Amino acid sequence: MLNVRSVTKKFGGLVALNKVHFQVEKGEIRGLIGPNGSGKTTLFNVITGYERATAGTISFNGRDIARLSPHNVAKGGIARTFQHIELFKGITVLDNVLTAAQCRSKARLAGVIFGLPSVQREDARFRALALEQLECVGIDRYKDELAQSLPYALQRRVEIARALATRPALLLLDEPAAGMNPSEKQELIKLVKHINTLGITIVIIEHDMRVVSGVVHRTTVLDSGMKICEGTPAEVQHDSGVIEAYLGKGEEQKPMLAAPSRVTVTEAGAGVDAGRRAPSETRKPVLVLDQVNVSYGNVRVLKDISLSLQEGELVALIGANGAGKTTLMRTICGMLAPSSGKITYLGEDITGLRSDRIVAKGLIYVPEGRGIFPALTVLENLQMGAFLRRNRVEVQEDLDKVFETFPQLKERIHQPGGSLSGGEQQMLAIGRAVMGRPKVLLLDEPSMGLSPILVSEVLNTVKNLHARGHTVLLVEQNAKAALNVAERGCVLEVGQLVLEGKADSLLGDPMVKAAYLGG
Amino acid sequence: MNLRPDGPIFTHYLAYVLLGGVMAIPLFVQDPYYSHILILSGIYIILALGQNIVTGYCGQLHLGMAGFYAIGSYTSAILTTRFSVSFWLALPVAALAAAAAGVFVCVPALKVRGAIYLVLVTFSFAGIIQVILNQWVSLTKGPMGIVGIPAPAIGGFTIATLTQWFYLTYALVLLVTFLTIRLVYSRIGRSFVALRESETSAQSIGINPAFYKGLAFVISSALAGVAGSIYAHYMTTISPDVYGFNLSVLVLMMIIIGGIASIPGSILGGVALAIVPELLRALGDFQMVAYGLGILLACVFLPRGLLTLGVNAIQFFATRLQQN
Repeated sequence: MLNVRSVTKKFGGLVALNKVHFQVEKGEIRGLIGPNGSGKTTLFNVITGYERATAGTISFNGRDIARLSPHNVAKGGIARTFQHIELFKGITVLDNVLTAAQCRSKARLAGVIFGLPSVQREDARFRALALEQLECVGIDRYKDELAQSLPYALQRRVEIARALATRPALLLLDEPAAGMNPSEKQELIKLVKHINTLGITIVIIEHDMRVVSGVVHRTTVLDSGMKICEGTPAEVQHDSGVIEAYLGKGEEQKPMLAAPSRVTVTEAGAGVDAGRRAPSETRKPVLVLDQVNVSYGNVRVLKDISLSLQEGELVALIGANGAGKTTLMRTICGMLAPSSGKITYLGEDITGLRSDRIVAKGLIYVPEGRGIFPALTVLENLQMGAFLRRNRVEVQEDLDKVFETFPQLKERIHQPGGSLSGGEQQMLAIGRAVMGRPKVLLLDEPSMGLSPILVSEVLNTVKNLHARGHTVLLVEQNAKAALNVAERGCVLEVGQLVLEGKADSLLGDPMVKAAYLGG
Repeated sequence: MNLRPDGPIFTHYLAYVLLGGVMAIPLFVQDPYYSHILILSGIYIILALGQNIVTGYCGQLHLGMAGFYAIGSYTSAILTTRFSVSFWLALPVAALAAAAAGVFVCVPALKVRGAIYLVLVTFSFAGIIQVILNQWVSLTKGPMGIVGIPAPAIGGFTIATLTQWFYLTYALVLLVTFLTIRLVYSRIGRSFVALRESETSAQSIGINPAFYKGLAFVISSALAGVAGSIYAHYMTTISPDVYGFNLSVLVLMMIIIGGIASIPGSILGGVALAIVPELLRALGDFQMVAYGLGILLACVFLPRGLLTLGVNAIQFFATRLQQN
């Protein structure tokens, strides 16, 4: 059905795809995996016309599509979603999907303006088609919400519904499960299988091997722009090249786990165990939330949240998408104002304080999706993190420390931030936060969109930071990995803290296991 | 109830309610000065609707409406004074001429991606048009302007009084409003919005960015042409100084003050920017200072334009009603 032959894509001197052959048969679900920066998304972009291949041919159902513009590729029957969600944010969910449903409309300007009956009939058909897609992905009850107001996992579904509304023969999904917790991922697997039964061929880029094995028939592995392996998920997972490049060493027995239990404590992390052993009562609380409520309009997003963070503690905050984790983070750091309740930081009431003032006090938030400055170099990004500091000698010391913690960043010191791979960008985001000399770090999903190797690397970093005495509040979809590095865990459900306890005990809790650890 | 300011309820009903309100004014006040201001408001509403299609809905920053407005005025004026063409033929030809100029401008302008280029191209285009109006004396009579532009006639009846002009203008405003609402709630309008919200995704669902951006641009040019034609016949005299950069900025301000991507907002903005400078006339030398300050305050406190006030008021009463 799709036949990519010997496609090469160069960006200046960088070879993003190197003579890649990629054939997809009608009706199959194909996985596409590989480390961050291996060229997976570039392959999607070349197929859908967003990038033009430097060399090679691409045909779809026997038709050459290598030179088509993206909108003509879409009309030709290939739909796609995007790694970083690209919704029409300011309009309703239904309108998002409706706009896609009219993909092959025959109506012309005059017909539209004069409201010809044929145009009205067509419109009614599009509306029905759009609603059908919303039902198919299970979000029809949100149809009148603004797309931007939905939580992350649901936005992903809107994107899938929108792609389906163009009635594609081939659907390309770019990391649809990123930012989802295990139970949401299970739902997604079901959805992908369901879409496949409708006769739609699917290619899916995914990092989570559990999702990949759960859904795909065959998997293609890319590394540095080259196809290194192709086969069933089981074959691929035992391929030594794949393990080396992607899954990480020592992963072959249980490749589906992100290996948090194997996170090794580096020498800098030697203090962790001491920290863990210290009874938390003897430490003084740095951040205390007392009955905090937050509302968006009439909707109460956080209900009576009371939480306290002790000095030097690493607390993991877990919960489904839309539970309010990011809202909680944003409230703590002053980007949202609570409607009632009190937030105390180092004994001082910071409720309602402006976010830059809060940052100046050493409480620093690293948002999900990293938020680095793509056009600035690594060094400049890090220097921006020290924006509020005046003591140059200290800043230089901290810079050296960051480079010591992240040697990869030092190698790329003069590269623009946007050219780094996903994992490196995440390290840069954390490094930049550290440059602000934080007393408390709020990390929002640092492992999102990263390959298994990088997930353990980033969580290792978090552990190191903790070992150096930073107090960390960590939000993670990868609950198991997060609880493995944390001392304490909190579970947030529909805006309420429903469970709190030692990380180990949460890991053993049957409720947590079922909901967040994937059974 | 979906009371979103860009939702259909607001667009359909509020737009007609507002227009109805404006059209009822002459029943109560018959001052020729007020009639004049309201006729000007009607012309501004058409300009604001055009600007909103390209800027509000399609997200393209267009800073040269005055150029297309001028083409509409001059086409209509020249056709009727030199060739004795009827207003009813001159009006659509003026719209077509402005639309053709729109095609001419947007084909190269939209090839480059990035808002700043379109601003520069439209701005320069309007500047060139004004130079042509001044210099091509044999066609435009240069700085002297064209005088004696005839009033429209329907059958044997000539539009002569201000009240008649008022109703003719608002009949056209109603028609344009009706067609604009049709357009923005159609598949074409949705394509415009999609391009504004994310060009990348719009392409992924089969929307050709160059075509639809161009279409929005050309439609807005045609509306400017219609407004220009009405203006020329109403004033009976036109000269190049009216069609300067200030006018382009004024039209852009109308949608910012009234409400971006909103039909009722265009109406509010058109009326407000015709009336407010007049109200401020009493301030004498401080007129422009107060005007500028007012616009600044409106931008800060009314992020969605004057429409914000209406939305807040209606939502307030709607919640009250639901509680009772």
